[in-house]
Amino acid sequence: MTSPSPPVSDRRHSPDNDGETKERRGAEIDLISLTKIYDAGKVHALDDVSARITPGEFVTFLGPSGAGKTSVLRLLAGLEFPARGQVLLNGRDVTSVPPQRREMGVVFQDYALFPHMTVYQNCAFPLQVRRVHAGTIRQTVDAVLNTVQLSEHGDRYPAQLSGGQKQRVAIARTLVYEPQVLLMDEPLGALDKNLREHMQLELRQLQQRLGVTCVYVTHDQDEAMALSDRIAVMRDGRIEQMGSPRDLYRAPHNDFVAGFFGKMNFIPGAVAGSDGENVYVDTRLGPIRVSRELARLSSGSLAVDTPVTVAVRPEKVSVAASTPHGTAVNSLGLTVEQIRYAGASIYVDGVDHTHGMRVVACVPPESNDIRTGEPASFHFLVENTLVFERGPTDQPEAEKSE
Amino acid sequence: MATRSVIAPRVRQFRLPRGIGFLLPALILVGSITVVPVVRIVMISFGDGLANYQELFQSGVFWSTLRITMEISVASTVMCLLLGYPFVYLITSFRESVTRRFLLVVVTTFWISLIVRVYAWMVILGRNGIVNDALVSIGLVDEPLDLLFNRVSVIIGMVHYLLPYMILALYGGMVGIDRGLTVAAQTLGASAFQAFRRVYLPQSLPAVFAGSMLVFILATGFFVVPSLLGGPGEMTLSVFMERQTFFLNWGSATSSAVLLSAVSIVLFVSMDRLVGLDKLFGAVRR
Repeated sequence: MTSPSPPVSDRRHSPDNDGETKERRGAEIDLISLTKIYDAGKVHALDDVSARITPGEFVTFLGPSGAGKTSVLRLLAGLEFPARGQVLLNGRDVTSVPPQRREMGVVFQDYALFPHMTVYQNCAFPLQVRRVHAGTIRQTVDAVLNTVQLSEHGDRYPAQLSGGQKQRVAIARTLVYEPQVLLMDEPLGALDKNLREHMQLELRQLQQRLGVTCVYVTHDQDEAMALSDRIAVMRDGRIEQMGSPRDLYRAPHNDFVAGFFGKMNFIPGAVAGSDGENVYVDTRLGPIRVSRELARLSSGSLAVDTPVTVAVRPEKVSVAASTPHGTAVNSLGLTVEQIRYAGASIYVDGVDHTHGMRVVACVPPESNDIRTGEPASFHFLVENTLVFERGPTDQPEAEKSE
Repeated sequence: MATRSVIAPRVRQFRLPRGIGFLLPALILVGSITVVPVVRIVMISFGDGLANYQELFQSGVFWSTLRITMEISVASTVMCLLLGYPFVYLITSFRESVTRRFLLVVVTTFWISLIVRVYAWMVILGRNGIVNDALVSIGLVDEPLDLLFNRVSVIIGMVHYLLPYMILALYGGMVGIDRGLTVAAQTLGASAFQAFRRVYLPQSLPAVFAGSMLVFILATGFFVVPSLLGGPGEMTLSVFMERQTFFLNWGSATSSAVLLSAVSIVLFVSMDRLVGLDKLFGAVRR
C-alpha cells in the first residue's frame, strides 16, 4: 500500500471501542493554484483555486451549478487532472496519483453502490481489493455497519434499501479502509427534507468522532452552514470567499456572497463622498451612511459617482409607524406594502412606489402598530450596513429567497 | 349503479378483452405456420412408438453428427462472444449518438443476403482466393491451402452471420450498466482490472448469457453455412436432417429435430441453474 497511514488491519484492534478511534487524525490538504480548462480553453472550470484544509476540518465548497465545486472534488479524488496547479496531501504532491492510490473516500451523489453486491459485500469490497485477511474483513465490516446502524441489513441488495440507508452504506463503504479524507458530492441531495436534516447531524457527529478531514460539495447554503467548519463560496471557477459560516454571514466580501447566505436587501446607489470614518452613498431611497471599516471598496472605488450596492440584512432593519425624522441617519420612508407572518417574527415589506424599490424588514411580531398601506420608517444602524462595488454581473434581486 | 359496481369487476375477469376478434386472423396464421408444424413433427417422430428414436440412437452417424453440431455451435458462440464483448464494451462507453452509428453499421450486415455472404467466403477462402494468393505470394506457403469445406470455414461463416445477433443481445444488456460504478470502485482502491472484473463483468453476465444462448441455439439449427462451407466429414444435424427428408426418411428427420430441440432446452435450463440467473437479474434490477 502506498498510503501514508498504517495498514487497516493494524489500526482497528478493538472495533467496538469508539474511544480508540478518536486518536485518528485526518490529512491536511493543500490546493495550489488549481486551474482546469474545458472546451479547448474557452471555459475555465477552475481558475487559480487555492485553499488549505487543516486536518480534521469539515470544509464545504458551495456555489451554484457550474461554479466549479464538483471539479475541485474530482481533482481531489484523482478523477480529473488540472491543467495547472497542485494537490498536496500531508505535504506530498498527489496531483497525478491515480484514484486507487490516493486512499480517499468518495461518496458520490448517486451513491454508486454496486447493485449486484449485498450491503455487506459492498462494504467488504475496498478491503478485498486490498487483499486484507478474510477474518479482519468480517470484523471491520461488522464494526462499520454497526457504526452506521445497518448491521441488520448486511444481506440486502442496494435496490432493497431506502435513500437514507443507501447513503449510509455509501459512507460505510468508504469508512472501512479508514481514509484520511472523505470527499462528498451532494450526498444528501436525493433525500427528503426531514431525512436530510437528520443525516446532516449524523454526518457531522461521525466526522467529528473519526477526526477525518471532510470536503463536501453542495449548492444548499443551509446545509453548508449547518455542517461546515469553513465554507468556500465559489462562482465561475473561483473561490469568492472562504471562511466560517459566521464570517460569511456577517462580513461577506462581495454582493454575491452576501446574497448567497440568508436574505439580504440590496439597494443600488453611487458614492457621494467619504471621510475617515464613513462612506456616504446616494441611493434613490435617500442618503445612506456606511462605516469605512465595513465598506468592501478598494480605495479607487471611493471616488464620487462610483456605482455601489448597499446591503443590509432584514433582521437588522427596524420599522416604526412614522415618517422618518429629517436628520435621522439611515432611515428610509417607505409605504408598508405587505406584512407576512413567519412564526417567531414577521416580515414587513416596505415599498417606494416612485422608484419601484422594496426593502424587507424582519421584526418581532409585537411591532403591531404597523399597518399595511401606511407610511413607515425603515431604519438600520451604520454598523449593520454593508457596501460593495457593483460587479459587472447582473444585480442580485432585492431580496434573496430561501 | 351500486349493485352493478360491486358485481362488475368479478364479471369482467371472465370476459374476453374487447376487440379480440381483430387478433384472430393473426393468431390463426401464426398458429398454423408455427404451432401446427411443431406438433406434427413431434407426432410423426413418435409415429412408430419409440422405434424412430431407437434406430437413431443405434446409428453412429447420428451421434457423430450431434457431436460435430455441438462442437461447431460452441466454438461459434465463443468466437462471437470474444469478438462481440469488447466491441460492445467499447461502443457503450461512447456518447449515445456515436454508439448508434456503430450499431447501424452492425445492423447493415443484415441487408446483405446470407447466400451472397457465404459465396463471398467461398471466393475469399478458395484455392485461388485472396487469402491463398496472399499467403503464396509472400512465400509463407508453397502451394494453396485447403481453407474451404472444413470446420474452420464453417465456423468463419457462422461467426460472420451470428456476430450481429451477439452484438445486439449484448448491447441490450450492457448499455444500462453504469460506468460510474467502475470509477467508484477505483476510488475505493480497486485497480482498473479489478474494477472491471468485480464490478462491470458480473453485471454484464445476464447479457452474456442471453447473447450466448441466442447465438448457440441459432447455430445448432443453422443449415446454409454448414451445407455450403462444410466438408463431407463435417455434417451437422441440420444437414443430416435435410438428407433424411431428401430420402423421405421422415421418422429419422423428425426424431432428430425433436432431439436437437430437447438438447437445446436442457442446455438452456441447466446453464440457467448453473449461472443462477434469477439472482443475477434480481440483483441488477433497480
